[in-house]
Amino acid sequence: MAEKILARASGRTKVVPGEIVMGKIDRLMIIGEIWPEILSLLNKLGADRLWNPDRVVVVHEHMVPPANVPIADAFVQSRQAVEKFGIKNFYEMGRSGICHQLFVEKGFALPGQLVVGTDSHTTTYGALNVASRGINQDLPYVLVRGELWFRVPETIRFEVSGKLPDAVMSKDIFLFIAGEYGTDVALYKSVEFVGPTVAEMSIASRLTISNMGIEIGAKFLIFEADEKTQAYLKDKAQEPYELVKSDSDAVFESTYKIKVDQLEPLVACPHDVGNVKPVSEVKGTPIHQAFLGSCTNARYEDLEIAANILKGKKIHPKIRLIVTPASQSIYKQALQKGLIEVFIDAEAVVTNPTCGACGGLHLGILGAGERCISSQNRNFKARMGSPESEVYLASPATVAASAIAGAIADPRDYLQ
Amino acid sequence: MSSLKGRVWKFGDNISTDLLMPTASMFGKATEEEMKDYCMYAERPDFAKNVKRGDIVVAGKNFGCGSSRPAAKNLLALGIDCVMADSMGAIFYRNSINLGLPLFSIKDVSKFFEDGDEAEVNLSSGEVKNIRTGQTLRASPLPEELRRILQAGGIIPFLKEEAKAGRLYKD
Repeated sequence: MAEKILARASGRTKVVPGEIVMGKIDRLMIIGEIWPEILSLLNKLGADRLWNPDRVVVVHEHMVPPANVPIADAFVQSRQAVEKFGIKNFYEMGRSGICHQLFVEKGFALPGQLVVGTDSHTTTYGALNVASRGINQDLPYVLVRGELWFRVPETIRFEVSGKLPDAVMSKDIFLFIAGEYGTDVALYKSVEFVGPTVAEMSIASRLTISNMGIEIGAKFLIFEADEKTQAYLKDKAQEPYELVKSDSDAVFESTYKIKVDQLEPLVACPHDVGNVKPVSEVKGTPIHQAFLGSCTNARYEDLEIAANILKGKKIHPKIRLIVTPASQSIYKQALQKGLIEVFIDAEAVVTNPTCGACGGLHLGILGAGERCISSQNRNFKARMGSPESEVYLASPATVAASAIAGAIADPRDYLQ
Repeated sequence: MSSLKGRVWKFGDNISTDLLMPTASMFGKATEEEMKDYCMYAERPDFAKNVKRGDIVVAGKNFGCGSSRPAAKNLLALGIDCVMADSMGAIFYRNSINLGLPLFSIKDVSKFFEDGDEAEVNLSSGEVKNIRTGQTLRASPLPEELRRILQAGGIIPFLKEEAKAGRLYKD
């Protein structure tokens, strides 16, 4: 699929792994915080316009509302840039969400397209049959030229079959892969996710997996488009699109077959996403904070399973739970369905959508000696704050169960 | 491009950009000048304090994994001239080329050096020498497209040259 998308974007009939091609960018996602640096670079180049402002999406979300003056100043410059370059697709806090969720919700992630964004989790859009990846210092180049070089990646495939047991989520499938095959299994490669389990999965569950693609090194992580993809995009798609599917004789560098019928809830222990253990092995490890949020796992179905576990209960008196819905629309839906009330009754802090705690930015930073279980994507040392803190990664169900127990807990013991 | 010689700072596997450029120093929490002092502080606090201009980083697999933040800026600010690792995160790799930091992915290079060794690197031929052991190995040269960016000094100097030639925009 990656080869087909890169061939189309570079105006060729066929490309092969290892080649370097210039790909036309269909859509560019920019987080507002990056503008001060970019504006000064564009000034140095004498660039007074963008290649195509209508292909650019700007989102204010990483650290909103601003937690300090430099960030407030960055947003001032971001708004000036939006005005100066005539960027119509601009999403201010309150009308927005975590960039990747917003990008998908607004119908910018479209099958067959080539997308780059200024955040490593841009691989997220692959759930909707998109070839998308994070960039950073390439941004000025894309802004003036609307294209970028890509080394055509080799493709590897994960074929997933079996029915997921209760309280085991797509996050657990991904953690299984990171633990079993290593966090560099997909380095420089494009990954395809196929199989009966994938067909059964909701778009939200697929987004969790594509979001974490970068955590196994993937350049792209692409799902095939099916009826669910098309139904999801029905009233959202910003423009017509063409689905991409691998040919029946396509060559894959490796194919991994995974059966999930017996899969247990899993936990990635500090300080590496690949340091994965079954929940039964780490059960009882005391925690100070539980975090249900991030672009990985804070969509409606994630909040729903957590609320089902928390309903009528209070979290452990010695810990705190922070809930950060992934977008304003998810927040509203959770409010209307009574989920937010469940969280507040359980004595959780509910925040606005932002990258906040996950990136160690604000709204949930950890101090020395603190331990957190989180539904996010990374547990690197110092990720959420102090270098002397620890982060355990798990599914929303495991996070909710652990919040009640005050220690890492098995969600299967808490299903109501 | 010339030959480089410098002291080797050796790091392990999976060194993330959260370690190389912690958010504790970003988003207005430290000045641009101070940011480099946080590089690797969670893992190896002596690095930013003692590293000297012209030193070289050698690491295990998946160096620079994680966030897209421009971690190479900190390495450049500390005076690092070259990075060699068994493998590297793809975004870190792009960012480094774009910022003008030469780097090589070389299988098993981490086994070839000890911390504190002196390395000699020929950027054009890709020849790498361990001065202590006298042994050499060769990295595959960078693709032409990337070498052009690196030779210009990074993506901004490269685009500046393009702008001078009237080629900044495609249309």
